[in-house]
Amino acid sequence: MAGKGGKGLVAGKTTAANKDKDKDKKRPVSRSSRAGIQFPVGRIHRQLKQRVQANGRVGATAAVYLASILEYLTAEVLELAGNASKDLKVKRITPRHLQLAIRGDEELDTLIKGTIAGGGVIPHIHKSLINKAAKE
Amino acid sequence: MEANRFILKIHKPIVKRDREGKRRRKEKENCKKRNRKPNPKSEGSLNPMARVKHTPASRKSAKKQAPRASTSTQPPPQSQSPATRERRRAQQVEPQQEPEAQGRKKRRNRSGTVALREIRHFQRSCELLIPAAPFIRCVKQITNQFSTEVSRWTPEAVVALQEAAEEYLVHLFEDGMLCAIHARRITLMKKDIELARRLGGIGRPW
Repeated sequence: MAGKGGKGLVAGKTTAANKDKDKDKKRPVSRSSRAGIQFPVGRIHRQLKQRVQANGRVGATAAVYLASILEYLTAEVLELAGNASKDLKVKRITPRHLQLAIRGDEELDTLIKGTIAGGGVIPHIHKSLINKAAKE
Repeated sequence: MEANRFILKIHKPIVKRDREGKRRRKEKENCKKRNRKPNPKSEGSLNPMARVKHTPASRKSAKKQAPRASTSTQPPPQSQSPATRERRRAQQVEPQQEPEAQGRKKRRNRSGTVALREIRHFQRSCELLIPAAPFIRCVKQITNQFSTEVSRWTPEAVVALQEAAEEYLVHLFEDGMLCAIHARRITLMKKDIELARRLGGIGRPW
């Protein structure tokens, strides 16, 4: 019986010690939530270190800065594409909506010069063609 | 006696018609001899379906006379014989049946209308326009010219290549069209495409 009691006392002591350690340890908080953004700061930091030349040395704030830039650009494009899909009374964003959003915005158009697969073109007919056809 | 009456009733109008026909023929022959135009009233009654050439003056007169025509469509008085009634009915019915027999002319659009409609349609759509099978054959042919070792393509690669090819061609035609409009034309020519390629700056040895 005494053995059991002794064991119990030892166990009690250890649990108390663990509780103290838990109090000292803080729950891990992601750098994205600290910065108040959605894009992953840690992943961007890792990928920067992989690609950078200077022995993989990258500042801590560089990753946060880059993540926030990427998030802003993404939000801008998605907002315009969402508006385009709303105008067409559709609930799903397609490459066509992205194309209309990007080509409709002057600054995004200069930024994104590439081809969007399945995007089509912006509807535009030159005035001279319309007038000529009407005259004939 | 009843049978005879019945026969007489049937044949009387026919005899009348024959007499009228003879009279009209005589009038026509006389007019031909004198080199005169026959009386329009008599001619109209002879052939109700006669074609009238519509000049601006005749159209105006027709518009003016339209209210009178509506009065003539009223049912004739009872004093007229049944033969004349039948004739009038036939005249009224025949013009209505004529367009159905001939069939309407096929509706044609003016030149350029369909072109503009197609422009709007294809600018609205965003699918690939070149048929897939001929494009794949073309790709494989060119691949074979450059190297016999590489001969297989993944479907994703072919689709990506087709997207790029179509996008390049669309932009080339857009620039070519601007060149044509700059030259005060609306017809795309070879020289417009050449100028667009030259000013585009992509693919110098052309």
